[in-house]
Amino acid sequence: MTAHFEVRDWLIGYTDHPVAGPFNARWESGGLHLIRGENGSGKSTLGRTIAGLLPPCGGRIVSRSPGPTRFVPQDFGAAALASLRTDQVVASGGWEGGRESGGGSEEVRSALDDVGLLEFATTRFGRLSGGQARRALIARSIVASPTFLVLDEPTAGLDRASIDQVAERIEALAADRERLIWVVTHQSDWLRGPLRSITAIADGVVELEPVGSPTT
Amino acid sequence: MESIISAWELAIGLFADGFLSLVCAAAILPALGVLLAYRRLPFTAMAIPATAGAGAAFGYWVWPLLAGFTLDAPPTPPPPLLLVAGGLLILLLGIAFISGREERSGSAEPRAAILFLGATAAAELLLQASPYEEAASSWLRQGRVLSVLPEGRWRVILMTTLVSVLLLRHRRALLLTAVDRDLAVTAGLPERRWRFATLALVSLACLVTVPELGPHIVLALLLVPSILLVPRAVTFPRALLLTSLAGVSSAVCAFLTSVVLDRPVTPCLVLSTIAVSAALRPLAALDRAGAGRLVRPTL
Repeated sequence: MTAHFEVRDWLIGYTDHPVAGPFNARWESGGLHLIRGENGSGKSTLGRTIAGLLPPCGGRIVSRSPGPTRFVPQDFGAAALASLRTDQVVASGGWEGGRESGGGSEEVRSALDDVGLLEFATTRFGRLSGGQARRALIARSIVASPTFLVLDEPTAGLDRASIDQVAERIEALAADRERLIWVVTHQSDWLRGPLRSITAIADGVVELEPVGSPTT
Repeated sequence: MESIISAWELAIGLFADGFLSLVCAAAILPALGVLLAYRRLPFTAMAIPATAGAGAAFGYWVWPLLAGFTLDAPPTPPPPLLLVAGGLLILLLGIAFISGREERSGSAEPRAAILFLGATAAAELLLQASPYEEAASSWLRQGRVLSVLPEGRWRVILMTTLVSVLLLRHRRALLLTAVDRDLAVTAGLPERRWRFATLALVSLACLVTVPELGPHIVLALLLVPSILLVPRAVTFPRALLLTSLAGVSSAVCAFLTSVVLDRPVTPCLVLSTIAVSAALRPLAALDRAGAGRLVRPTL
């Protein structure tokens, strides 16, 4: 079953400060959805609005598939996480609605294995390198098997080798036809995998350009 | 050694209510402090017991006025409910002061620091103005662990049971909203509601324990174990269990020290909390699993 997310007349921004829109869009699973724009254009705001972290300033969600949403933030330096073991950080991603749903030991092991970090399961999160921390947060986001996944600048501040590792993980995630993935980035040359659409934001205007067809 | 044991047995016999109240508070307050530490709210952790203390001081001040105190008839002690109600009143005013727009922008902590200072000063003035002056001021500084009555002990036990049940039942939601707001919201947990729930639990614990044990003991138990142990704890269960263990161990050590050396409990408890929490830090960081081997990380 494919996942979809459709909005109408969406206006994104902060309560008294819209930054982009209004626009209509329908995103479907079966590949990656790129959200791009210059710094300050509102692409992260769009990502956070899709994830439900910000309310839209206007418009509505016409329809969306059921299922959990996860957001992988750009800033992973949260001090509260630094002392925790990586497997504990990943396990917390499975506490949907405060209940354990996918954060058990096997799911954590599998998620860590998926991102190539099983050997760092008991390493403190604060001791991981930038690329490893980013992959750990991706593992945390997938442990609950989310239907919607928003990755905000997943390669920001990483070196080439780490970018390749993250890109490889995202490519693997994109193979899942039941998952709808947005990647928010201002540079997309590193991105691999099937691209379904590009949402470009510039000067407050949001344009959705479909690219390719769903992966099989 | 024998004299220590006999002093201990005598003290436990005489001050059992105070000892039990202290141990209960020492079990639950550090665990609540963990939630505030993960939220990085140290000044709020200081302000809540201080406002509960100011409220109790308000009770000491207002009770003789309500009861019609005269010079011929010394005032009776204020009813405990009045102290709790006074605490609630001042606490609600305090929370209204530190909440609002600033809280969302992350600058509620400076206001909490101001609240702590204001509440401490107000408590001092109110107690000096009350006819209980000497005894009440002594309560403010040293608590009254040794004179807790059975009713007070039951109130603390009841509060500890209630807060423990709520904390255990909602531990994931309380912890997740404390450590990562974005993840909590996407996992369907309204962060504001759970922040309110956290403050409500801490407030309830402080409102009940402060009139019995004094604000300094409550502040030490709420703040010290969590500040020293949370940054080292590798899992959430480790943080919760070790802070509680530090609290209870400190309470026993403080009581013993106080009895043997005949010193007030409050300063003994503050120092033993610091010493025990510092001693437990290596245990918080201990990793039994070893690299690459998962222990159950869930909670």
